[in-house]
Amino acid sequence: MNHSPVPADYVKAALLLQGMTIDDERLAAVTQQFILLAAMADSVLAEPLPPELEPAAVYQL
Amino acid sequence: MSRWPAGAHACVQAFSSGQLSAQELASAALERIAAQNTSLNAFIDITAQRALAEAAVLDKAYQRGETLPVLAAVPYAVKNLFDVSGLTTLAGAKLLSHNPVAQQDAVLIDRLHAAGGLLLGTLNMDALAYGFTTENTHYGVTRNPHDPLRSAGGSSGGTGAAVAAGLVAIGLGSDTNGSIRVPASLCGVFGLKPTYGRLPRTGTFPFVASFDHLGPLAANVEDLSLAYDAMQGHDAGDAACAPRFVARTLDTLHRGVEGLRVARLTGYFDDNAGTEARWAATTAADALGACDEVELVGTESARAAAFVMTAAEGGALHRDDLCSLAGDFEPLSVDRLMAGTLVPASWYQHAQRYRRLYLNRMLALLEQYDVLIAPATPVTAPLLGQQQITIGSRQLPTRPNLGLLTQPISFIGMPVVVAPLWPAGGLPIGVQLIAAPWREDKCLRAAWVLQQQGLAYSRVPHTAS
Repeated sequence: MNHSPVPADYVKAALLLQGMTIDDERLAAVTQQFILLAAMADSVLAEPLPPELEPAAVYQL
Repeated sequence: MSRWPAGAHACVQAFSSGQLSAQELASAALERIAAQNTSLNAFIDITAQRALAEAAVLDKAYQRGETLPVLAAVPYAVKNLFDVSGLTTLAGAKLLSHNPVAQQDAVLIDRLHAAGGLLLGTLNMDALAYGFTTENTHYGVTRNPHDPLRSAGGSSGGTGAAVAAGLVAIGLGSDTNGSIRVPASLCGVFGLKPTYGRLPRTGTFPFVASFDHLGPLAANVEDLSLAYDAMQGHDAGDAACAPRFVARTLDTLHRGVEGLRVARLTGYFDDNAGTEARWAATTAADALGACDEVELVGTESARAAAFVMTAAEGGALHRDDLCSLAGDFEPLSVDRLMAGTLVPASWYQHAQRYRRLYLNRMLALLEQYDVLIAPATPVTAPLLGQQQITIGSRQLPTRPNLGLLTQPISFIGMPVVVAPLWPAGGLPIGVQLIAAPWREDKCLRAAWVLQQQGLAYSRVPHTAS
């Protein structure tokens, strides 16, 4: 999966959806951070996971 | 003797033997803070009246011949995300400065108070605990006592600096991705990040609830152990706090590493370690008789998963304020928090499932070994404002990458002690001593051996002594 380039339009729309309005300078900075997160997520998403693996708590207390 | 005994055990000894009163110990600590905090900027609030009042109670108890508690007259301070009655809990954020004052202390402060500790104040940190350098735009940078031009690490940088400079004997911090271990490494003190769920977080400001931890920093292993033992125990106020029995560690230290199987983590932990960090890990491995070098597969992805989950949970926590008060956030982290609110659920869930897979791999490894060794930080303390660190031939941004080696471990909740070693050059660097869940005793025993061998220790810098 390849997320880049992430369209600033997506970031702007998703922020707006949550009620965040930002100027163009901040939009560029947030988009840059989102691209970094997307790159990080790519490496995790590339990891094959057994289907039985649950997104549960860290371990049994 | 000095008016300021070095460390918690020495304070208890000086007080219980009648050498110094609790009020003298509190006053001496306050004098040191007054003399040095202007340059270090470790403290945000100084609770002088409270410390002196607590000391007066202890002095009366001593005069009456009462049995003294285990941390009697030990000066300590806490990262300013702990609730302290009468103070606003800032968590290093201007954003929170208009909140009402806390009505009661955090549970761990209650426990240290019951153990006789003297609370000296609250300590600087990266805003909202999101950072590794304690370069706080609103409350200033905290300077490293070993070189004031360098970072104390973060996000518990005020705690690391206060303990390293000898301003307090015990400091409390929090650790989500390395925020106890990074400052312990860069400031040259011992730090304990206990097992996830061991110490209650009741009355502290959260960051990433699914891997937020609290723990102590101290100048030696015995003090670290003493403080940790005093804080153990379940509290229903923290849903993640495990109903475990108290497992005291202080009396186990002398067992050392006899019978423990020790190995050094390689692969990712070597690839992301600079020269001093590798030296520290191999030196500790030799000293502890490490029998193997082992690789934990998938660590790079574990770090990436921790990174994504941190942004997502942190962003979600602050979403409402990001909508209405974005201008009050720390400029160094507000953009990442906003980006974190956009993380798709599918990314987050995959990261969470990967966490389980990686945890299972770690638990399998910890069936073969009792203690695993890895460097705590890739490099020694960077200069304040330094934009990049060098690891081998790579240049990486400083602020997110000081936690490269700590993030994968806290992400799965393992207990870790950082022990500070001293490579040539004069700046410390820590090693992580990692054990299976609930086996903090093994981490502490390994650290104690490094201390006994003269390899791991803290030293108060000349300017602070």
